Amino acid sequence: MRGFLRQLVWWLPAGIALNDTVCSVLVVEGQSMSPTLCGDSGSADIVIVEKVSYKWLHKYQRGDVAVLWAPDQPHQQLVKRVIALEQDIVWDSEKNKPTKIPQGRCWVEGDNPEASGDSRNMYGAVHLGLLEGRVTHVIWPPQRWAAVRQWYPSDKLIVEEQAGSGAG
Amino acid sequence: MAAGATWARYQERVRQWVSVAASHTGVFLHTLSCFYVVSRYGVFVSKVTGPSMFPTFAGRGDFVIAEAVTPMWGQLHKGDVVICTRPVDPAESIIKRVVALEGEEVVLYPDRESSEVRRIKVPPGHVWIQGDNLTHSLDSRQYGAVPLALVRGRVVLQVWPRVTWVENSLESVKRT
Repeated sequence: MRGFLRQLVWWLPAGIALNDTVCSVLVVEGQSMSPTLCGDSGSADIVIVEKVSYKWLHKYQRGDVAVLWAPDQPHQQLVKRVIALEQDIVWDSEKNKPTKIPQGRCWVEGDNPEASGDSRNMYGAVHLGLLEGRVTHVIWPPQRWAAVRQWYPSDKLIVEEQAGSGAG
Repeated sequence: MAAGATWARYQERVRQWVSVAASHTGVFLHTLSCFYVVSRYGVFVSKVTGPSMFPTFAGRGDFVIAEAVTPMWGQLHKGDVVICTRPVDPAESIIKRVVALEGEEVVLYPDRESSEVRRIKVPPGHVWIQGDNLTHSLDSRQYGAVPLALVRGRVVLQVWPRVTWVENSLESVKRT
């Protein structure tokens, strides 16, 4: 038992580093990403989040399902889909007018517009630095086991920045 | 027969080498991970470049020590010098001073951005940061309040070129 505990303590920093910078597991709840995540009832899904794209490569892509820190609550994480990146123009359905995304930010929305607080109604364009990782797979419950597809509703995007995706 | 013994010895050597290499790699990765955990959740060293915090920092290779505990678990105060992920480019970092906290109102006088006086309320979960060198600083006056989750550390000590405590108060900033 002692030996096991010591091994655990020895490997703890590596576990934390791996969890923060490479890949982690997350429990997601709520209906804002239904039906992609958590189904109609909003029951919890367990997902795999990869962090290499955002933290090492700074490669952000439209259509990613991203885990991000809430702009108004620094200890709260949200899961939303990236609809548009910096310099893109989106149609803001709440204000009924086109909005250009400033440098260093992105536009996120939940897949379930009726039950999602996101860039449309709460935060506006969100800083790219708040994005923690990309959801790649749902691993629980078993009947919802699936890869999370990258797609975005192109009718919301008016003009895509031609230089391509990703920040600086 | 002799060949068999030589082969066995060779295999044994390779096995030993692999196990030594594996244990060294393990120690190396463990050390890296410890460095990561300490610098992300404890203290880290950062280099200051650029004129935006003059005269507090000359910005020509000053080195400072910052702690990550206060931004993450404590409360930032007005006047704190902080290191943040750059709002316009998440791959870079910036060093600025906190001038206003959430809920407070910031008054912006006419400058190159606009010709009228603007009053902006700092939204919840955000801070307003400005460089000490107002004329040579790109900061919240240009890109708005910054979410707290982007603040990575609070600067406490300068170690190069001289060792000095960093004054985390608004007194050190000359207000015009």
